[in-house]
Amino acid sequence: MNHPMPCRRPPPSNSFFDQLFNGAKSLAFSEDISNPLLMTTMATNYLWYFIPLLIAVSLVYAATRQETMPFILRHAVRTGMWIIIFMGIIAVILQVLDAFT
Amino acid sequence: MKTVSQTKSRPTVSVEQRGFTDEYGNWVALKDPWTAAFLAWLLPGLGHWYQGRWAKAILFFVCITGLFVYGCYLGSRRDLGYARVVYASFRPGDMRLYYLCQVGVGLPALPALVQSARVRQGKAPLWNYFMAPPRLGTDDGDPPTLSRLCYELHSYFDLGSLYTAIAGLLNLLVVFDAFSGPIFPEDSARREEKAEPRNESSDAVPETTAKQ
Repeated sequence: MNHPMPCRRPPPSNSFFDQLFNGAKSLAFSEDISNPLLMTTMATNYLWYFIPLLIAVSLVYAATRQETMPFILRHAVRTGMWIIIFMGIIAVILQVLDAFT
Repeated sequence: MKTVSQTKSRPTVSVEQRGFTDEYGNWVALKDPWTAAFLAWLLPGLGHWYQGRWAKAILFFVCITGLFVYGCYLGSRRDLGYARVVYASFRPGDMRLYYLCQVGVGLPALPALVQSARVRQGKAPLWNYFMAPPRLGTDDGDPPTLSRLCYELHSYFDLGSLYTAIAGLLNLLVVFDAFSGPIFPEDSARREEKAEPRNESSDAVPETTAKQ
C-alpha cells in the first residue's frame, strides 16, 4: 500500500546537533548484541532508565496523598523505598527461579 | 451565592465550601473542582495553579511533563521524526492502545490527533512527522513503517512508549487530586487526634449509658 505522503526525509547529516542528539543514546546501547557479556552490560544499563521513573512516580503518588511539601517528600521517600524493595524481591525470586530451571 | 446545585449533574454543595484542611490545619479551597480537573488534564499542574496550590502545581508539571518529554526524546531521531512513540492509530493491524494512556497527559499529546486526522484524509503530516502514525504496509522507503521504527529505535521505542504512557496515567491521579483534594485527607485528622489525647470521661459516658 503506497502512502499518500511525499518523501520528506531530510538528508543524513553529521552536524553537532545530530551527534549530540544520537550520541547519548549510542552510549547506552550497542548494535552488536552477539556478545553475551555485552548483553549483560546492556541489561544493567536498562536500570538507569528506572531512576527517573522511580523519582517521578514516587513524588506524584505522594503528592496525591499529602498536601504540603515536607509531608510529600517524606511520603515520596517511603514510597520510593517500598518500590525498590518490592522490585528487589521480585528480582531475587526471578534469579532463584532462573538458577533452578 | 453561587451553588453547583444549579446544574443537574453536580452535587448539591456550594462551590465556596468545597475544600479541605491540610496537614497544618489550613483551609485549602478547591474553587470549581470541574474547572480544576479539566485544567489539570489539559496541562499537568495547571489545575492546581488555578486553585492556588503552587508547590504541587510546579511539582506535577516538572515530574509529569518531564517524564513525557523524556519519553518523546527517547522515541525521536532526526531522520525518523520526533516523538514517534506518541501517535493515535486505531487502524486494523496497528491498534495503538498506548495512546489511550498517553492522552491522559492532555495538551502535549493532542498533536497526535491532528496528525492522525491528516493521515486519514490522505494529507501529509506536519512538522517532520512529529507524533505522526507510521505508515502501514511493506517497509520500502519513507515514511517509516512501525517495524522500521522499532528496528531503528531499538529498545527506545518501548522505553519511550512506557515513559509517555506512565506520564499520562500519573496525570489521571493529578486530575482526581485537583477535583477532590488528596485521596486520604483523613490521615491528617487522625494525626491530630493522636497528637491531642482524647477526653476519656466524655468517652465513658456512652458506654455507661449503654450498660444501663
